[in-house]
Amino acid sequence: MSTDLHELLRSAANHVDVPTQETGPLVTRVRRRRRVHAATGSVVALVVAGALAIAGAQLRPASHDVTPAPAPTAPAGVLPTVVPGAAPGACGWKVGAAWRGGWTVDDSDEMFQLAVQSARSANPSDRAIQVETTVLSRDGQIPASMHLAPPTVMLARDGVVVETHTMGPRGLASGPDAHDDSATALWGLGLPLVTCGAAPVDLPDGTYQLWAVQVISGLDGSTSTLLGGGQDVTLTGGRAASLCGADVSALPSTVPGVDVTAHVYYGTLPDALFDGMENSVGPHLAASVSFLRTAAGSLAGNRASTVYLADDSGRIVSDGVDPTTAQTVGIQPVGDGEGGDGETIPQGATRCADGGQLLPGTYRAFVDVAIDRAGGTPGIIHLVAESDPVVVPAS
Amino acid sequence: MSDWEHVLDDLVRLRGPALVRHAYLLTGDVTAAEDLVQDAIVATFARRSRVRTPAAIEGYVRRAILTTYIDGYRRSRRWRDARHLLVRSDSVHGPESAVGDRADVVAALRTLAPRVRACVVLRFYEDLTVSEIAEQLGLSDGAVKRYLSDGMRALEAQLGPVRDRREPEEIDTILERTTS
Repeated sequence: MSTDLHELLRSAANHVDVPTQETGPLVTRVRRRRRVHAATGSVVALVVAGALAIAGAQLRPASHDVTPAPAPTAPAGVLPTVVPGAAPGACGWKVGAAWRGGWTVDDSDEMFQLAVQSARSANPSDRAIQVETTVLSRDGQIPASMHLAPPTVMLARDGVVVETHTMGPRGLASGPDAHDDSATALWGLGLPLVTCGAAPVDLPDGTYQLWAVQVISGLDGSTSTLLGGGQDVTLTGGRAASLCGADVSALPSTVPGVDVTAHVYYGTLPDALFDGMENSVGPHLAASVSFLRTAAGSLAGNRASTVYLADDSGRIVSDGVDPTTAQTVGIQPVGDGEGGDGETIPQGATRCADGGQLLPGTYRAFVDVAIDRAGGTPGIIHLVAESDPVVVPAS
Repeated sequence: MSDWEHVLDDLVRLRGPALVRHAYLLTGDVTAAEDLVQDAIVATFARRSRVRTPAAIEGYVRRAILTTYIDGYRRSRRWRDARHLLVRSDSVHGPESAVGDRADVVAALRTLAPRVRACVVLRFYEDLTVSEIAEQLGLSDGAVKRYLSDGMRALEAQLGPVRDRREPEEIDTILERTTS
């Protein structure tokens, strides 16, 4: 006996209890959109809905506006020091003193959280790291009435802010209606690797922590300053350290208590899997990833995924970074479930050393899902899995 | 209240439930369907200054639902919480069988890629022809047939044999592709 799909779909749809919809909020949203369109006269660069599915090579964000001019290298001991009374996010602000193991500087709002991630490595010509921030709502909604000030992104050394930059109106997502129809609001920029203060100089090599603060306010006038981040960013030779050319043993380890499996794809990607990707005509790398949490705490937050390929000798030859193009982080949400599954954002099948196409051969393949957890836990955790080998055929 | 506000009000009042039911088959979730419809309405009215009747604007809203759904899936649905894909019980008969079947078909739809799912919903719920679906989604007829073929094959794997009693010839043509 066969199933009448027509009747089944009608039955399923007709049994949905549709609540009465209010038109007032819709009218308000339409008015706001029309005002924005009229005011800007151009497309507002907004990216919301909890994720950014843009391949790195596709996007050259406004962040490049802040690419610094060459600056002298900082001599040892010239990093900005603590400035008593500095405002959150300001040069010399002591992050460690503000971090309360929670979500905010002022400990006043636990509903909204700020997640921060940086790209795996920078475009070498930029001397900047790509950073994306996302405001997450614990109940899945960011009210349209809430105002989100542009976030301020910082690098800290020994808990003191040594570089800071407030994202401008040309961030990936900004403007008065950037968040009016989703549970998250996302910004992005390239953070120059120079010191803050009156006389910027290149940041010296070493490990810094990436943080962000963002002020949110409601119609009732209440405000909260969200604080998020804590990811280590290591600078080597004036640039963000890369795993390109490193041994696979340098890949991070999976956080205990999570089983991860992955399958890496190579090739021209099918529309059904990567619909809408304008550059899906060429060879790409992407992966399906599944994880099951057995003991670790909540993994809810934002993730940035990377596919790594290693050659016969175990040397990483592809790390998701095409040195010839700008990079974006491409963060996506991770739900608070026992497990999860999904597809990574496709990345170019190129060599990280020079940006050329991968040579024919068989490569070991790994996936690293880096998660900045919401909920006040600083730093990044990793879910890493080795896939079946990837075969790059001779063209 | 301006003209477009009257039209929006009429559209929501008169056609809102139908639009949400249509969106529900795409999203598999009533709340997400309501959000999808509202997003589509906002997007449509924000871009069109001259809207005179609900009937005239509904087509644009429906298209916005499809594009918002497909684009939104690409953005945000690549990473999903683990869920049971099917809720079918081992043996279902009688009145509760219909409930199980409805849940099954919605769960089975969730397993389809967004374009495939959109094609299936437009074909089997909205009764559009292959050419009409192609026009709605900006695809070729061949692509629509391929998506329908993929969709039906996937649904049959979960629901058993499926059929459309109205246009057997066209469906047979599509189904032939599943066995080729």
